[in-house]
Amino acid sequence: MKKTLKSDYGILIAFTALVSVVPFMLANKYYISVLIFVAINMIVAVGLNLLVCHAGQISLGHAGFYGIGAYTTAVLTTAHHCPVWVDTLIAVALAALIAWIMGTPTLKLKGHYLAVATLGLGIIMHIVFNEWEKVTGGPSGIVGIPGLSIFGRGIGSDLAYYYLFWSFALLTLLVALNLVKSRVGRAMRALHGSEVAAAAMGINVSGYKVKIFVLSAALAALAGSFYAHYVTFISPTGFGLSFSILLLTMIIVGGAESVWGAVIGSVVLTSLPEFLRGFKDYDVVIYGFILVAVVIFLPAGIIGGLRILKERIGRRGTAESA
Amino acid sequence: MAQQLLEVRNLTIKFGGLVAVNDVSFGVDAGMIKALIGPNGAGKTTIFNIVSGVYKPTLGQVFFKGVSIEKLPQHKIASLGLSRTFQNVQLFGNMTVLENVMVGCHAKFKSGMIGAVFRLPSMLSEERKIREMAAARLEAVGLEDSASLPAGSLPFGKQKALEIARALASEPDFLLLDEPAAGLNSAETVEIGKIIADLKKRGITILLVEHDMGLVMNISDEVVVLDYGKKIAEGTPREIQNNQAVIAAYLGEDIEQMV
Amino acid sequence: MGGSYAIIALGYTIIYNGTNIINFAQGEFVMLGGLFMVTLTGKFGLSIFPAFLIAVAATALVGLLVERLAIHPLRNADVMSVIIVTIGMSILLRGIAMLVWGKDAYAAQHFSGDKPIEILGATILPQSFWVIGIMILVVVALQVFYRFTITGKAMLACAVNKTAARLMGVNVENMLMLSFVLSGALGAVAGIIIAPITLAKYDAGVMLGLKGFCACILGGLGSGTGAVVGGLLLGVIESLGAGLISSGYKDAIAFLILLIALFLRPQGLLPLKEMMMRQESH
Repeated sequence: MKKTLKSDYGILIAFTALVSVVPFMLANKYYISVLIFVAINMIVAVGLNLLVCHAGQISLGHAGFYGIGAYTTAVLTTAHHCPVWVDTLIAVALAALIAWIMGTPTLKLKGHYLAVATLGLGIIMHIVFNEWEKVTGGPSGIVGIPGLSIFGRGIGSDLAYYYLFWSFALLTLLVALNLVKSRVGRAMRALHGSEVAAAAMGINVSGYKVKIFVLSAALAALAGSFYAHYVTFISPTGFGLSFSILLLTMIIVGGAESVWGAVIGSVVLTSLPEFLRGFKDYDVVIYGFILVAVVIFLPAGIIGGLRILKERIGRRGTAESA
Repeated sequence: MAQQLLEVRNLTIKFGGLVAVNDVSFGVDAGMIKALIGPNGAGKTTIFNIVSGVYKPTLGQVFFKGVSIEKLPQHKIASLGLSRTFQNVQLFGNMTVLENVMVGCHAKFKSGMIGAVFRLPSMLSEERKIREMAAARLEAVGLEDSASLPAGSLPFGKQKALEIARALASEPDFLLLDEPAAGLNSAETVEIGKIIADLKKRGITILLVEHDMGLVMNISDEVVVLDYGKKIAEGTPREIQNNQAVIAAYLGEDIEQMV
Repeated sequence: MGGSYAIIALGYTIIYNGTNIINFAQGEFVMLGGLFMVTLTGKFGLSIFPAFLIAVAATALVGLLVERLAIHPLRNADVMSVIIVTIGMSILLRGIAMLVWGKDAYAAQHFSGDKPIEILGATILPQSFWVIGIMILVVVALQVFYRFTITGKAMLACAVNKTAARLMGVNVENMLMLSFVLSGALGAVAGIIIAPITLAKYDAGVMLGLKGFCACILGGLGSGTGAVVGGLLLGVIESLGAGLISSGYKDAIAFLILLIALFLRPQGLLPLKEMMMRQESH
């Protein structure tokens, strides 16, 4: 296991290197903005991966926390002239607080009930974004959100945003990798395996569930705040059930067995619409089809598929040499 | 007389209209092996679930090391030094054999999220200790060769042994074993019997539920017999074997098996 | 409104009773029922009754396809995969509906005119009577089915214990298929009878499905009468809430009620005794 953490670090370093050179290999500048959205989604997906895949607690409401992050930033910076970054901190803290309050009763539920409760939470938050017009601007949303700045200097270029957001995404990834391979991470995975046995080993089951729920909500809010700063206008459409489902799809299609699944999932599903653009209205159908097909044919996601492929090739290699 | 490590006093639990455990009292002295027997549905596993905190009793108290624990959550009871295994093996199938035992060490250590995220030196040294402890436990039950296999892939007998290793990882003073021999063949049963006797030598107090009467009568110091949620007898294995009420309760089951 | 929630809730209940699965594509059955009806009465000029039958049959067929294509291959998978596959199916069905019918909302023909009737000072659409009437009919038919037919009893047996049911000679696989066919049909019935009131649209199923689900939880999952009571209750609370607070928050109220219902009975609304029996039978 120590070895695998080392190999995780190896992949992380290689991945970081790749991320830092990619902008120079892209022919079209438009793709940089796509990759910026990949980084934003990856921050949410990695947090959700910890919650859903490692701790085994499904959530169909994370778009709500993402939305809380985005709306807090939007409201604070436009109506209250809150300095940038401070608004991000407040956004994260607020989402964490709401997750902590709601998480305690919600995470007592299991299976379908948990899915439905988190779905309800997400929908309620979405309705509030839509209806609380005085604050959220209702369906038309909020415009004129300032961009981010560092040391008083505004970030003007997509390239700067690219490096900034990817630094955060990679940092989130590092945090998640470290967490999984620790006492806390093991406790988290244990309660996925068997709650009653985890409790018998002295693990505070509900405590850990809430902790990880809060962490994933905070990460979602961080990403939401970044999103608001980057696009500078928001409306409720992006924070509804379909985004929650998209997030869940990312981690499942990528592969639930490791944090890297969330990485692959956010890359694939964020860029997929760009490829499906040629199909126009067929994209929803194709998207639904991919989701169903992956669950049925690749139950361990793309990561799992790659692993099985590697094992097969490995076996063939040894067979040939023998 | 030795100090009573666990005492159950007037325990009653009702599920809806059904009284699953009815006014049961008994104690377990430090250092002994006590067995809880009775026909199916007598309430044995329910008592285990109350003692370990899964259920809260309707009435009555549970004392562990003199402290009343019946209202504590499960994980608090576990960290007081009470560990258990399960009738239907409850391993963490998504984790390796070694990791299962490492989870067992959970209550002994403290490092939290911050330590994990920044990989602080204190956390790393704890991690090393956890790994060493877990490896030693695996060796004790002869599973060191399977350490990196997924726990779910082990044969049933080994899963049972792994559960015991995991329960021991927290260095408990008191162990609840729920049917350790169920589903095992006779050779494996002998092996489990040895492991249990060995635990007693190391000073661990044991309460077990078991249907294999040969095993119970061989290794237990005292036996409590339950029937329909009530205690009908308590005593040494010899006394129990000659107790009329017990024989009556087991009529219809194979009495020969008890001798 | 409550009546249609009740019928949608019954659709969930049937699948849950037969398979222990919560079908997130249930709302799509409702949507399909409405749209089939619109096409059959509009384009093909059929009269209400034959169109009704064909629309229900067609949706039931879709239910069958969903079971065969998505649920059956996952019969040994965990809850999470099943949840996600039914979500995927709902996206797929919605996408297909969008391709076939476009993004427009269709007004379906009222069963018996759209002139409101005045009763005791309240104006009520005749369609509302159809909704309530058909709901009662469905409830009675289901009761008869579960209580008095072998197939109905076998279906209940499957939900309680698949293995035992199999040992008793019940063809579990057929029962699963039948559950989906039935709930597809029921979803369609709900969709057809409310289409004149709410308009039929490719994405109408999402909210209706979720509301039906709220009703289902509210009344106690797995209970037929519960589903009906829950549906009617939800309809009443919603319209009260819309009047007292704001119509924009109407949908939020439904979900708030859902959450409260779930929090108050965190064990998932199963009676405690049943839970204990399961523990002991392990």
